[in-house]
Amino acid sequence: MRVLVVEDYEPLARSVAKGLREAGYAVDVTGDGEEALGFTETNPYDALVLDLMLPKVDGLTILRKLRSRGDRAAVLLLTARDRVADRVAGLDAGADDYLVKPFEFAELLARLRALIRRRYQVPEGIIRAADLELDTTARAVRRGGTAIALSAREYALLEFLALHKGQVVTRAEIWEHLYDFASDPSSNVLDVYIGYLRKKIDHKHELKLIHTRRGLGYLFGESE
Amino acid sequence: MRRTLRFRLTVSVVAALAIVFAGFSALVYTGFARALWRAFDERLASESAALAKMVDEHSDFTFYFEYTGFADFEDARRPAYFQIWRPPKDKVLARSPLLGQGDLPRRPAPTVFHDRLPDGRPGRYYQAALVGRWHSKSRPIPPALRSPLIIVVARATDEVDARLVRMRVLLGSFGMVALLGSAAVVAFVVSRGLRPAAALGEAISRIDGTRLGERITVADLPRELEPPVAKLNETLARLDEFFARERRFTADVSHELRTPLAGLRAILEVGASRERTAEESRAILEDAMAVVRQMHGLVENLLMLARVDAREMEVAQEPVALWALVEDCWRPLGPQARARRLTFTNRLSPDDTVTTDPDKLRIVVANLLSNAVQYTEEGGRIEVQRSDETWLDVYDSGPPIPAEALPRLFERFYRGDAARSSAGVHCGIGLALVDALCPLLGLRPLASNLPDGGVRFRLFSSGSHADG
Repeated sequence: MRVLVVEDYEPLARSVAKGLREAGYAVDVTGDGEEALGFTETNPYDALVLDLMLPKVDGLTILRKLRSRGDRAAVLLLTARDRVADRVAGLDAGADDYLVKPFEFAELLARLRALIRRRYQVPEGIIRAADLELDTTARAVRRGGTAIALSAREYALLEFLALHKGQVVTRAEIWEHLYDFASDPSSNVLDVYIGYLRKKIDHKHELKLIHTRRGLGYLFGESE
Repeated sequence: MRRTLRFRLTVSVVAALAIVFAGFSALVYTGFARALWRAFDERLASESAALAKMVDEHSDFTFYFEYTGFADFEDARRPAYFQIWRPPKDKVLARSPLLGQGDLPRRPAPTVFHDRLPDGRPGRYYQAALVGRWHSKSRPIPPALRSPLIIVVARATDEVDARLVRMRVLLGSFGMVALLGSAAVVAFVVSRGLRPAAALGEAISRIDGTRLGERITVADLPRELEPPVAKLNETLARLDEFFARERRFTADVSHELRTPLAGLRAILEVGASRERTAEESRAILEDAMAVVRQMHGLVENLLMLARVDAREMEVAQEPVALWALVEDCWRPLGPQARARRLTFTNRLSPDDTVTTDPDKLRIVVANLLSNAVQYTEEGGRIEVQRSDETWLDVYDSGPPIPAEALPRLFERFYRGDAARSSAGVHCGIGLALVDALCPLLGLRPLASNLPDGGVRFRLFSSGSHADG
């Protein structure tokens, strides 16, 4: 999942980005409202962590422009103002949720997970395919009752595929959602991670879940 | 005694009316009484004249009284008494039949007076003097006979007294009724007249801490109440503005503190979320320390500002070497300035000494320099100088301050940075503190854009004039 962190207080932006990356997200950071708008135009973000008070273009304006463009990225507002009016204004402008500063980082992660689940319409947080079970809340994967240990990157890739269960996902889409600007764009990396996933998930099983669609991309699901 | 305005007005108007009524009644009563007594006296006088006609003289200079009968003197129920004395030696010439052998009282000279009647009732006496007519002109009148006869006529006054009492009762009760009636009318008129005041009171009482934005409007406000209402509205506007500023300030303080607090928390929580190498841990602690340092600075500035606001500041006066003070203030900014390749020039004379409060001046200068470092573009210039007209002049080659931000630059937490800087710098209260401290030092700060680029923050001596 790819997240844009828009926060002008640099130490906060930096540590939130760091925490999100460590949780397996692809993260871009900016402290500038104009830049944030530019980023959202060129990249399909799954979620935005958006500060309300920003230089040049404030958070509410960004949010309104985003929504008027039809961008449905989940938006989690960060605000230092806890007046009801501020929150109402944010939610009315199209925010999905808000957090008042200072917040607990674990809560930020939980809310972000919930927003992304809602966006991909997996309300209970568990995606099933044959005997595979992916718990997006616990970030745990089991197949045939056996827990499978995945790295953060592997999990992120599997989750992205599973959220698009039954649909072909292009390599470009995977890139856009799983890698941020800081990543090294050697396309080989993707094949390597798909290989790792196959080994861990499909290797000993008759029924394969990860399928390659030559020239198109990948498909996750029970049937071909 | 604190009574209502309505009560006070009613009482004073009714009191004035009572005096008018009393005066009027007194006038009517006196006129009436005088007319009654005049009629009474005329009757006594005519009776006395009738009596005088009954007196006659003999040729030997003796008087005789020929009582011809007169109904008035014989009415037993309301009799008139009379008595006539003759000269010489005041011998009694005649008495009214009802008097018997008793005497009526008399006065030394002719007059009208009150006294008891022989029957014990109150009476009014008419005393007249009558000079003898003396038909005989041939002989001289003996001197003893030249003094006049004294005629005293008296009647009971109970009838007149009773009429006067009736008159008093009538006037008194009429006065009371009129007074009560007019009191009711006055009370009504007064409360009608005071209705705008009551409406005003109501309008005022509707305003509380949460409705300071409202203004007092009373329909049909009397002209006398216009100035206080205008003044009140003006005060309300000022209060509203003050509270709004206070709310904004509190919100700004919480924002400015919450943001670094959120940063600190995120740094520590993300840091603690997994095992870290020693090097990673050190970087995390350094990050956290930087935030703590920044928060510390902000809190110190806030406290200083609060102390200035509370006028708890004592101002020292001591000789200060200005050049060295500016160098001191620059030193902590040096690394940041070097990293951004800023050139700093201190153009002050090393032996320029001023008398001021060094601690406060240091805060002022440090904030101006820090502001310059933050806003000057990379590779820019910062210069400090003094001239005859400016007490101190901090120049930076940074981008101009937007015109709308210039007058508000020294406001607390004014986010001029949102418009001026591309970097996410929280403006905070450095310039507000400069603005608060300068008056204590006898200085006045002024920010201006230079026509050929760059920004100047100048401090003027309070006595001199700025050219803007």
